[in-house]
Amino acid sequence: MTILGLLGLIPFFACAGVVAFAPPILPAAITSYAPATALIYGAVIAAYLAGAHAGAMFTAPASENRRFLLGQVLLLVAFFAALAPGAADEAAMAIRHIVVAGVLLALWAQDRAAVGGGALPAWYGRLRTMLTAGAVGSLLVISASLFFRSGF
Amino acid sequence: MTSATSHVQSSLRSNDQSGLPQAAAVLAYAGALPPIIAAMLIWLQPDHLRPVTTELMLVYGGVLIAFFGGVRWGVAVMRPGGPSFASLLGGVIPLAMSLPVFVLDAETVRFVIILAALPILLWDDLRATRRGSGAPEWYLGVRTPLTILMGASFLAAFAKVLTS
Repeated sequence: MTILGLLGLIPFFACAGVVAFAPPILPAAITSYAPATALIYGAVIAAYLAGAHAGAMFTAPASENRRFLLGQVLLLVAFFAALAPGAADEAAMAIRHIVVAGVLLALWAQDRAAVGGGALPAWYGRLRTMLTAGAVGSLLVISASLFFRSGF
Repeated sequence: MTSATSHVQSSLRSNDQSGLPQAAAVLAYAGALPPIIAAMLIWLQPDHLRPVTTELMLVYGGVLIAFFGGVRWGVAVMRPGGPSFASLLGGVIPLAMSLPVFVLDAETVRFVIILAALPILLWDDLRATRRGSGAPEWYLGVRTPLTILMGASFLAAFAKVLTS
């Protein structure tokens, strides 16, 4: 599970590396698409994690079932941030990355709360913490690079 | 009352003690509304508005596929003794299938991916549940009619896009 989870981080790391270091050997088309790619991938991962929480709650004790709706709302927020018009504005794109990072953090907090309540296994909580740190860290690196470039 | 409806109702009643299935079923059917409404709009609205509705519908289809993959992952996590690699792969493959829907430009290809993925994922979920490694029975009782509804919506929209 850890290996599959780490494989899922590759697009985040690749996009963050491309945006932060903008290697000159890469074509401009790739470097210009990297921020939007990270945003959309982040939103897709948010949808996936909302589904994972829902799937886990299907078999969890009733007391942990009440946060079921939160994930669906969060994934809508992530997709709104990822797909809203205006991708050319770097400062706005930087803020969108922060929003998607915030959604991933909220989904992590939801899973950690479920771990704390005994509804999810402890090892899953540790894995979620590690993977969320990688994803959120990458999105924040992209956001900081975009802010820096926009000369806010 | 159709047999599908009575199956769903009996599945829900059998899980009333957790309080979740009815809430989940309401949410699940609410989740089917956007593609149904989008398919109707694609047929009824003026031509110049159709591309926006089609794009939103395709994105929603991609989100659904990723979400269903996530559900499989979440169910696998809760397996006694931990998840098997095969059950985790059953959750990751839908995620991989959903990505081209967000990346590609060609509407036809994106519709085909969604129309292929929805029944394949349902079939795989049914198979996993029969083996005892999938979602609870009541989930599939909701999921089966839901997949038919959503598949029909995407098919109707695809037919209009192809003939426009």
